Amino acid sequence: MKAAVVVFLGTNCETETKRALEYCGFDVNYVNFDTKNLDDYDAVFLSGGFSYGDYIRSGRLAKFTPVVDALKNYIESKRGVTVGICNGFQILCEAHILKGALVENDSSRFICKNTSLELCYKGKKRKIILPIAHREGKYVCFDDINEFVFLKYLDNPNGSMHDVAGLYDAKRRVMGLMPHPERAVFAKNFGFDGREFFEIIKDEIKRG
Amino acid sequence: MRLSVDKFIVNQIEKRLKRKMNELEKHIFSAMWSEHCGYLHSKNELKKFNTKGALFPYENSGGVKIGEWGIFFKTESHNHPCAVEPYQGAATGIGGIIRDILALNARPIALLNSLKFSFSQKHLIEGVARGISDYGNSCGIANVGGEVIFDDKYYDLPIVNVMAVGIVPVEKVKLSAAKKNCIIALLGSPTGPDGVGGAAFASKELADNKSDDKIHVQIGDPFVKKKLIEATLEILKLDGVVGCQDCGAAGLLSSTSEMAYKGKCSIELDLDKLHLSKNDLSAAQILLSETQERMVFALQEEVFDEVFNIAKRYELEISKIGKTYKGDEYIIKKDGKILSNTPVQVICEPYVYELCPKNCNNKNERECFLQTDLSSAVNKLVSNPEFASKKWFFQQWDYAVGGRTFMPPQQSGAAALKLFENDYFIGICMDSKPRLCELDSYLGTKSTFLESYRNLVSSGFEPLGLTNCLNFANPENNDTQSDFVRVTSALADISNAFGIPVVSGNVSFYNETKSTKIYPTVTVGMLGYCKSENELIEAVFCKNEDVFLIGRKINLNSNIGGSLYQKILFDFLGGKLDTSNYELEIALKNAIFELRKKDLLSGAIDVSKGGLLGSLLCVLFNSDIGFCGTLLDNKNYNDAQKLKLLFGEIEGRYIFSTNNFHKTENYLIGNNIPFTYLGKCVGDKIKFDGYEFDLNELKDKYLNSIENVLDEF
Amino acid sequence: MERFFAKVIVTLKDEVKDNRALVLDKMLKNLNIEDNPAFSTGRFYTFSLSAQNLSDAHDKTDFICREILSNPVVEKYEINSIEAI
Repeated sequence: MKAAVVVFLGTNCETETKRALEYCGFDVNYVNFDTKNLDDYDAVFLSGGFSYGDYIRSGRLAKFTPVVDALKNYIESKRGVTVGICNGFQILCEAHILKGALVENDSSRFICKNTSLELCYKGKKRKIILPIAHREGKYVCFDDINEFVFLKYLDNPNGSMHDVAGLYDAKRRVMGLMPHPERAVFAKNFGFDGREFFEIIKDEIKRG
Repeated sequence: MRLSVDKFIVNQIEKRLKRKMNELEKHIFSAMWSEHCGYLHSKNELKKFNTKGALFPYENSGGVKIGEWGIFFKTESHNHPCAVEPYQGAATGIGGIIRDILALNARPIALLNSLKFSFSQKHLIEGVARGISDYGNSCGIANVGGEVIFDDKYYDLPIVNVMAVGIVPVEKVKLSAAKKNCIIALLGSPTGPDGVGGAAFASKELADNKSDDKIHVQIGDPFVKKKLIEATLEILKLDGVVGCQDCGAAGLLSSTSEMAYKGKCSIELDLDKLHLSKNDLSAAQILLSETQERMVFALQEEVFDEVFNIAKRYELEISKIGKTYKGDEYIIKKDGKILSNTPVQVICEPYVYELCPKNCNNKNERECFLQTDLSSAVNKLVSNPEFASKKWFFQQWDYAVGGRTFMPPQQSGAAALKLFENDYFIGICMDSKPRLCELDSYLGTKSTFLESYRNLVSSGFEPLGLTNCLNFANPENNDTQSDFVRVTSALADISNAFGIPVVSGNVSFYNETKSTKIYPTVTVGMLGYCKSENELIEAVFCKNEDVFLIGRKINLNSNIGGSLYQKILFDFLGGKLDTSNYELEIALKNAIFELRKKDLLSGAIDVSKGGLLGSLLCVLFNSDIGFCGTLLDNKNYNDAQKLKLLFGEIEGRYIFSTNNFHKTENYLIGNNIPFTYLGKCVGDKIKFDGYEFDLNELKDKYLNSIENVLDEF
Repeated sequence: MERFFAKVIVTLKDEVKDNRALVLDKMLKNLNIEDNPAFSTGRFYTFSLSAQNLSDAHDKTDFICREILSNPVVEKYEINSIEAI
């Protein structure tokens, strides 16, 4: 399976995302923010970091790049699965590809730690542990999005509404999440639950 | 701009120039012959250090070799800026140390911080913590560990030492020397008036009125820094790139003159060619500006277009600002005129003082016999900010970005990172023992070295090299001089004895105000390696495991001067320090590594802050498990004696857990390793010698006491 | 074309909790300065722009606020002033 990891100026989790995806069997390329076509890829990952310094707001400025236009076409044409992790999730929300917005944590502080989550996939619920690392990760949305949520905090660290840690778009081809599955692939102390998440992505790609 | 060159120095300069300085040259020399850039008071002492085995110890940063890879690491202090503007001060401190690593073509992969505050100065703590968080997290370099110490000696004098680690194939290392017939290019943020005079500022005592000092502080931009890192690493791959220097203290002046000095060539800078953020800057302002996020390159003319295109792709500005040629002159041009022409050697070889302090020995060697009952002592210790968990800090810093981190902060004595490049692991730690150094700067420094050494060993790493940051008061003061000489001798002696080279370092003087000065604060950053994940050791014990102490046994005659419990319980600082024993340290290291190999050791911690009981409590909190056992060899001690035996800090001790009591005991006996069996990890109570504590109650205090204070108003 | 100078403020919508404001409220209260300051926080921007006339400048400023400076899901904005320069 071919995956693209999008690199904006200021993205900083591209290396570990690529490494984790390769471990999980993906064939991975970096694509730059000026890329105009993503049709070669079965999945597109927007990885973590501080695109454009997160100036104005997290993820705000990235939405004006060519690759986000390309991404909109990619989604429109139902080519593959789009995944936004952390800053990627923020970008997807800012570009209104996913519902809601991510605002500053209730603590006003950056939070870096492992969190317990409830993963709901294909009607099954399971507890997993993934690391989080963000300052603007509190999910806010005033629509009813409950049916699209696939990941919830068990011990809400940032004040997210309805404990939302990750959700789909209406067509279930776009996923965004604040936790970092790519950091939970190699090291015992961060757990291996990230591998499971990437298996789900493979599943989603096959589902078509 | 204030000029801070005293008469004696002016004479020295003009003697070497064989003429008077002009206005611009006064600025040039006030920066380059400042303590901060010129190391006037420290240079001679630093020559003592053992650098055998270090890679490029005289470059921007030195390193060690692991496989075919160079691991470069260095510490830097940003104490003065943090005192007046903690947020920007901490941020640009990180920015600066990253550039030192980057200049060698090494990708920065980790940061550590060693911080000291007075706990009453919340705005400094908050500002520094946030500055590190906003800057480090954004440029994508993991903040993997470090230490925080609280002491009122640091009131108004916070110590902010930061260490960066980078990696590059040894054959790809780029040095800072220019060559003749190169062009000089400046990449990054447009030069502005910010931070002008920073080097001179860091070379004086802090004024009582701080608003005055704010103009010297630089402003960081982590987004530009992230782009600068990527662009620089791409540029340094090119063949025609000859040398690279970061633009730090004394900005363009210091970086370009060093390049010419090391390359033994002349350099001519045309200040009209720079990209500026403000047009009406004087030559002195341009030369001395400490605008952040800039790098200087010496290039062959042919590659400039390629370099220019890389810069453009990262949306960074670049300008050709000068050239090099055969000779030894440093020439500054502006508005078509030559403003200064001085020999490079005079700029870069400042006058160096010989330190010959008179002996001073009025330290407090009195022992502490104060007492309090053990239960209240335990409670006080675990909720004291210096002993308590530093999670409030570490959670604000992204310790896992980059995906190399294998051990979160406080999980073991050292941070563990995987080098995916060659499958090795590196361990890094940063330690200081300022109260011990105050009591005895020689033994205190050795103890600091050993603290780092044992932190690495207890995490499974073979120590390879060290960096240091020496923070002192005014070097013209006899006591400070005396401590400085003793500290550098101690570091030289012990690094020789252990064969662990000093690869890099930094000195920060003038950490004093009119009314107070800091302890001699020696920060050691040490780096080690191991070959596989199986060799990593956590400071975590498991249920039903047996706990052993190996190494020295403390007794009523032990020297435990400077132990933390005396400070926390009685606000007492005194006593003699314990001496170290090289053979024992090596034997203990070998025992730990061998026990690990035989699967007889599951978790370990070195015995340091809080002594035996303090270290045991830390592991139990980490492991979320209770304990039942015996820590004292008889029951008849009085309270003061119990405190000494349980909390006293001596050298050469570790505790570890095992799931095989007999094999472990046999190994220790067979190998002549001094040991004591302490007890078993069970339940949710901590029980020893008739005392009983509730694990969760103590743990809660340990985890939250810092947060409870700092998040309140 | 004329040149204009705009000042705008972006704040969180009323239904989004403003953490920084709450912290400031608490601080002022604890310091016995003010019992109920009811802070709200936001971001302040100034910028220059070219437009045919004031109304055109207003439309352009509105567009910039909506599309670039704020996120309508959680934020609102207010054009403080637009003046010809």
